[in-house]
Amino acid sequence: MAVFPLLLAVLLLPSVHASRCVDISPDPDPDHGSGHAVELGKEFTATCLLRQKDLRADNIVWAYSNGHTVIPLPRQLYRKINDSAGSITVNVTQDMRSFFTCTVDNHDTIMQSGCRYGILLDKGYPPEKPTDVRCQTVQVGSKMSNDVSCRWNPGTRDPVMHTNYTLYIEDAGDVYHSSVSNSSGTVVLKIFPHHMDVKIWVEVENRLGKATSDVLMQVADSLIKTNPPANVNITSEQAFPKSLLIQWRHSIDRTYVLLKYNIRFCEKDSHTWSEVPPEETKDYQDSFRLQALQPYTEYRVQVRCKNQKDLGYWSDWSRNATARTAEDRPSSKPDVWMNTTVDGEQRTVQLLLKKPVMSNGKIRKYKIKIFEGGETRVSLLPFEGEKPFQVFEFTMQRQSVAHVEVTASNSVGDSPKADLAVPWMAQELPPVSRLVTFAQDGVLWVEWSGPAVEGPPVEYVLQWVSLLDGEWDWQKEPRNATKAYVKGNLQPFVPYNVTVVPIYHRRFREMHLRLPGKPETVATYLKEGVPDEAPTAVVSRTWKNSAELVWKEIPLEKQRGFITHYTIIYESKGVAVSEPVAPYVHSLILKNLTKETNYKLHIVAWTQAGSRMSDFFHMVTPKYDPGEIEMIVVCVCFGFLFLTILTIRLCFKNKETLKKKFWPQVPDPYNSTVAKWSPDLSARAGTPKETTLGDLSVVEVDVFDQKSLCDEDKTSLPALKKDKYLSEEHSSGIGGSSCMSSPRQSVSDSDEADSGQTTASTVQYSSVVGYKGQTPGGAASSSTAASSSSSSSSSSSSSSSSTAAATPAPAHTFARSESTQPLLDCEEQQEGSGQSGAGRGGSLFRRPHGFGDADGSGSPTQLHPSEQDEQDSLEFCPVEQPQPQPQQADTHLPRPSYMPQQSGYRPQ
Amino acid sequence: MAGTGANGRQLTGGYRAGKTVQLARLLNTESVRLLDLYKEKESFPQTAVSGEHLVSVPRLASHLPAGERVWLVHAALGQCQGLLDRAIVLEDAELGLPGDKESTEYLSQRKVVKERLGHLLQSTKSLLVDGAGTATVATGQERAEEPDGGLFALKVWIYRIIQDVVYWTNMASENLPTAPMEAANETRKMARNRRRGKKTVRR
Repeated sequence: MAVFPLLLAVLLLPSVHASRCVDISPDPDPDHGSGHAVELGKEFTATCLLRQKDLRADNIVWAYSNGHTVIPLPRQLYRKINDSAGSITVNVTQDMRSFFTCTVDNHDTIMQSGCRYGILLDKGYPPEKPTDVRCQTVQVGSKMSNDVSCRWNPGTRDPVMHTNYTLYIEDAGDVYHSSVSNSSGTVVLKIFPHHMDVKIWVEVENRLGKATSDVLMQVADSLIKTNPPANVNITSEQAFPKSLLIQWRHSIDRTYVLLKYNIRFCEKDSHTWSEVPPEETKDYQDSFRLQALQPYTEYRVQVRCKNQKDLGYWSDWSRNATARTAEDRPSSKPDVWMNTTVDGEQRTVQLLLKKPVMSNGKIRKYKIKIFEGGETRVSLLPFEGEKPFQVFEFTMQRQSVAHVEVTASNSVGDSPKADLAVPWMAQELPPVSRLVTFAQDGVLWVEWSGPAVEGPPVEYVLQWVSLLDGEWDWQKEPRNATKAYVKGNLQPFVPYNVTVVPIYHRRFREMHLRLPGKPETVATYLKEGVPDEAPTAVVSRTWKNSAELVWKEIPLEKQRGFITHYTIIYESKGVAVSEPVAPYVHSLILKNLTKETNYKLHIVAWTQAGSRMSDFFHMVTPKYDPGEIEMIVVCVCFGFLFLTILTIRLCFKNKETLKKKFWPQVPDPYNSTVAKWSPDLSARAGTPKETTLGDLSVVEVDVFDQKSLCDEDKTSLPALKKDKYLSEEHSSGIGGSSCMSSPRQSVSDSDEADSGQTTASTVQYSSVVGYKGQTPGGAASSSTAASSSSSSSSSSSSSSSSTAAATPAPAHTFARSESTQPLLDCEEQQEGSGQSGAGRGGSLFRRPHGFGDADGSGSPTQLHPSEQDEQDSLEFCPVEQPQPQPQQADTHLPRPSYMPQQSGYRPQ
Repeated sequence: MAGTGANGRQLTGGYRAGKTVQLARLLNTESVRLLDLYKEKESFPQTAVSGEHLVSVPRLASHLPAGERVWLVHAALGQCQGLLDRAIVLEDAELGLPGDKESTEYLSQRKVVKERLGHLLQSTKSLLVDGAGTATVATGQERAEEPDGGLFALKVWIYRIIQDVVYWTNMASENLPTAPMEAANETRKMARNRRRGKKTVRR
């Protein structure tokens, strides 16, 4: 519809702007710099008028600028009116910030490159109707201000474009107005129109429209907000300890505003106000008496005022006025409780005293009367205000009843008396039952069932004690109570013992006593939490398939709740196993473990609130159980022993067989026939036995000493075999045969005996050796050869042998010519070396000296213990009568390897 | 003139009468204060200046009907307003505008009384329109003879005008209540009768 007037304007106005080649209609008034007013979101039609004939409407280009770039409008929005005019209808948007242009390109003429004209758009919305107009006038000095301030709701839509807000107030036919902001403003009147009706409204206007709020017509007094009452003062009167007198001054004269009042008060440290019923202060008054207050209590009071006709606004509350009510005598009993301890025949009673709840003043002292066994004691205890309760201690007989009365006093008077009896030790009255606790709304509730006895309790004492710091307190509950919350400042995560004690009323010897019953206690928490720390566990013992885990209980202050259970988690090779453990158990044997396995362990402590897991630690199971190795060793030893015994038994059983095999029959030399000795020997008169002594010798050959025994012996054996006529005799007398540890070889005439020497440790044989006139050169040479051959295996033997070797072979003379036995070179050398240190003719034979090193080190053949024993036994072998041998003085001669026997031989 | 109060209730005639009385009392208080300030300012004795009232309205007799009394009060207040306006013009012209503090308070109070008097007139007029139909109020301009005896005579004249304002505002506060209360009683009776009629219909 708006297109037609515009088209009309296009047709009528071409001559007006003859100077420009192109115009846009509508063209805003240049005095109004903000441009043409358009409503956002609505369609806007502009017409481009071409002022020159050579311009064509087909060449019109519409565009707008968003402040940065020029944005052409789509051609489908164009409309050609005629050859000299074209229009466009667009939806107005926020980004049309700059010029809206019409450009005509004239390609037909050379001179003009184009014509362009632009207009500005003043975008916005028409104003919304203001709502909820509220006005107020405040008091200035003793009168109401002439300024009326108002607020209203301008609506949610921003008009965007410039908008004027005007506040109007009509008073007694005069209209006052003021330009204001979009939501508040003030109008100044000549005077404040008390008791007059006023009209108030708000007008909002911009280029797109005008809106007016509803007219608020009301009496001007409904705009009033006076100052609060001034000089509020409170007076406390000694005669009225429960009352305070409040006085104030009216904030404004009653001719302006007839006020009513409102009073509120509270105890000084409280933030809960109590309000005086409004009907009590609805009159125009300047004082009020507060009643039913608590004596000796500090109160805060505030007063405010308002038009009596409930017009206008309440004033602000006055500033706090504070006063304390006067002191009055205590109106409630002191709180009395007790603890008793027994000390022999005496009982010590601790009376615990709390001041009366309604002290009504400053308590000065307690007056305590104790009745016991017909006697009365009176004590005064000065009040100490800083303690939550005071203790008064007295003693009484163990088997008596004491009755205690306590009053508290202030400067005005005494409180009602509180009484309590201390019963017999053995007469405890029944306790409460089904005592439970639970937390609710941040406080700990205690619930119990009263004892079902005749004469039920008259009250209950609820006592609690912290198990961490020992802090404790009590409170009393009435007779019908079965549930109460603990009034103390209990802390979460702290264990408490809560005890309920019923108090009974009983008659005793014309006295009415309040007797405490048996206490009932329960442990509890106000709130449970996760333990602060987990128990530290250690592996005390391990086996190959199990382990014992031990841990300590978590310290009480870190439990933060009742431990419901522990969980042991052990994990190996990705397989975790958990085992729950009761809270009172602090060790566990983990079973079914795998030997030689590394386990990762945790211990978790649980409360109702959650759990705390310990750091993990490791444990390795061993390969063997403790003692298992020892058991194996013992078994092996026993097995070996058994085998040994079995072998020995078999040996014994087959003794004859073995004997035949290993110890073949040796011809009995005793029965042998000996050749006749040379005449020289027989001529010796003093030694008849020797001359006739048979050569029987027992030679012990240690199999272990075979090498060191005398290699030369071995080497000499073949020679011996070869020269059967040469008999090497290692012999001694019969008595000394067992003492002769030095290896001796006796060569029997039998070849069988020879073969036996190689395997048997002890060979007993005898042979007839030594003929006078024999030539021992072969033996000497064989000894030398043996010595040289054994030098590589035994240094000692080498040493001894070398000594023998170094010694020039003397002419073999039978040094023991006096002996009954002939000598062998080998034996003589050994004997000589073994007794070299003896100084005198060797009466003893010590194998170490004979075979070991000179310094005793590096002995190639250590003695076996049995050999040592043997040696030891040898050490004490007596030598009865060593015979002097003149030949031994010749050091060049090989020493005899045995002692000359002088006796013990049977004459051969 | 009917209207809507702050609490949305219709402003009845009784309610407006009450407000008029309160306004009259307020104006009386303020005019008394103005008189005191004027006495201080011009050093007049505390005793009243003798002589006839400048406002020539018959005294309010108790036997007169309520509407008549309202009309008389309104007429008297109208004369007071005319006299006061003229006095203010003359005072400002002849005596100048003093700048001391006392005079400033006096001028402020004079302005308050002048404006409040206009409010009272408006208020009493509304009572007349509702209660007694359209009334023609004589403003008493014909009796407003200006003094011609010099400056002192002007001051005495102004003094007497303020005295008349005090007098007639007091008369208004004392005499207006009966008429509106009577009107209010009549209104309540009518309302009660209407409620009874409704109950009868329901039965």
